[in-house]
Amino acid sequence: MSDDELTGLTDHDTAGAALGALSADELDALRQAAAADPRLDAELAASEAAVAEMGRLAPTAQINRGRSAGIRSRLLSRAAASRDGRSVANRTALAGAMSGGAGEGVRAKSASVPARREPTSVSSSSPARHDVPAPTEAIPFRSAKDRGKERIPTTSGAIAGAWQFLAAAAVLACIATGTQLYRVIQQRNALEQQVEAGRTMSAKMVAMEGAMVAKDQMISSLTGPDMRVVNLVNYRSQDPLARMFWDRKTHAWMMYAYHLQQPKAGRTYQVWLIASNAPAPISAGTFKPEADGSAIVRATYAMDPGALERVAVSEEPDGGMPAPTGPIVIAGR
Amino acid sequence: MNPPPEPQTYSSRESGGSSGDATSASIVRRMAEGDESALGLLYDQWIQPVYSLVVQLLRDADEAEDVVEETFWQAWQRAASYDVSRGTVRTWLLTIARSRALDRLRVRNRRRDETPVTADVAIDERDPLLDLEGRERRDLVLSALNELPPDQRRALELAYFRGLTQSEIAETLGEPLGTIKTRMRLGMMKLREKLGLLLDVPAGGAA
Repeated sequence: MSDDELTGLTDHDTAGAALGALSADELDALRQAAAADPRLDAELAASEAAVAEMGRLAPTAQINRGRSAGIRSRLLSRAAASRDGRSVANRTALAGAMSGGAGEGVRAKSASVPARREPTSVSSSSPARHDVPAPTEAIPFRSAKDRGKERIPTTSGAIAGAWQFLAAAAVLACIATGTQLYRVIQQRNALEQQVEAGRTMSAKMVAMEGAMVAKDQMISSLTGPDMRVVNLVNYRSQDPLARMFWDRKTHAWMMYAYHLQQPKAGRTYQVWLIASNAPAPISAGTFKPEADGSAIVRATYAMDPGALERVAVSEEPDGGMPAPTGPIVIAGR
Repeated sequence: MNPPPEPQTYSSRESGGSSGDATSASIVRRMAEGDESALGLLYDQWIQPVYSLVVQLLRDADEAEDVVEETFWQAWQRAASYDVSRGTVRTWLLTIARSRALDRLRVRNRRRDETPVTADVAIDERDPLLDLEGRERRDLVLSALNELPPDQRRALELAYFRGLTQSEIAETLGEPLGTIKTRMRLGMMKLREKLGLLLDVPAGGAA
């Protein structure tokens, strides 16, 4: 190492401090020195900035959205609670100052309450300057009317004044307590809503899981070797308006239809299976499509795998018919 | 050897641009005034870099989430002591996050009596979650580190990514403590020089 390389280094190890790599004693000594030496503090700040830049080398990681929302919510609740606690502390301090009597007024005027946010305990790896305690906050404003009451008390005046201030303090305490209670109740109700929302979400998750299992089963069956698929079209278009799946192993039938027009009033759609070994079309159920024209029809009917010739859907009177009577809407083979 | 990085001007972005940090500084001021909604804004703005750093250090998502919460809570508590003339909100927040993560890392290492010996930093060149500016800045830092002599770089990385103290690094590498201190100080000095404008005092100045 050359002397040139050492040029610019101070005697203090700001690099080790910024990296959190010093012993506790070394760090304390450096903090004290930095507090008294702006040049050293600036050097420490520059090293901390360089260390923060090294954080860019960490691969970008995505926090779980749900848990992140929970952390955020907890933080805001804690912050709101600490703010309310501070407000109550200030009010209590005000009430305490006033309850000291008129003779305490001058002292109360210059009194202060603890810092709004007390610094938390500092670990050995904490940064130096950021641990400086927050400035203290003055006692809340006192009106000119209140200040006018500040006089040298007589004995009787002091007693009367003390009672007045005690009464005022009691009123303020009640207001503070009532306000605090109201806020706590609000927070409690908000939490209840969150819990309820969580329950609802949980129920939805269970339902979704059930739906997923059903879909998995469906996918499994649809891709199995025993599945036969029939596309049903109408005479105007060769685009399938419905697709029928027949699991020849379980004899389960499922028809998915889409873009179907609504049947006329008092009428319904009826599914027919036309088999070579059956004397007449076999009814496989009736249905009415949803508002968007979609429909799902399920049925179970055992049939010789080689006998199915055609699947058709006709429009029939409500309740269905034993044999097709109305126009064929879609059909396929 | 890569050429030294040219000084660059960055657009105003929340991820570290100067105006973005000025916005963050105003958010911290609101926090200092007791506005908890500002804490939510700070969280939304910085959760990703904070979480990325912490999870990289701890390698444990559950612990990382705890540290994330501790970090932002500490930021709320200490908002009044944030000094904009001394560093950006990003530096302030990541310094807190790293400190909290190191505390846990050291407790964990003591408990398991294990001292990791490598500083494996896996850089994903295609990191899809990083925007263009973030990539440019990351590349500058990587380039600056790569230009350091290997022993200096290793000392910095072992301290940064493994949370080792200088004594632990000396023990791990079998080098005298004084040597490690010198490497670390020289490495940091060069790193600061190479990063140049990246380390400027944020917009808003020494207000």
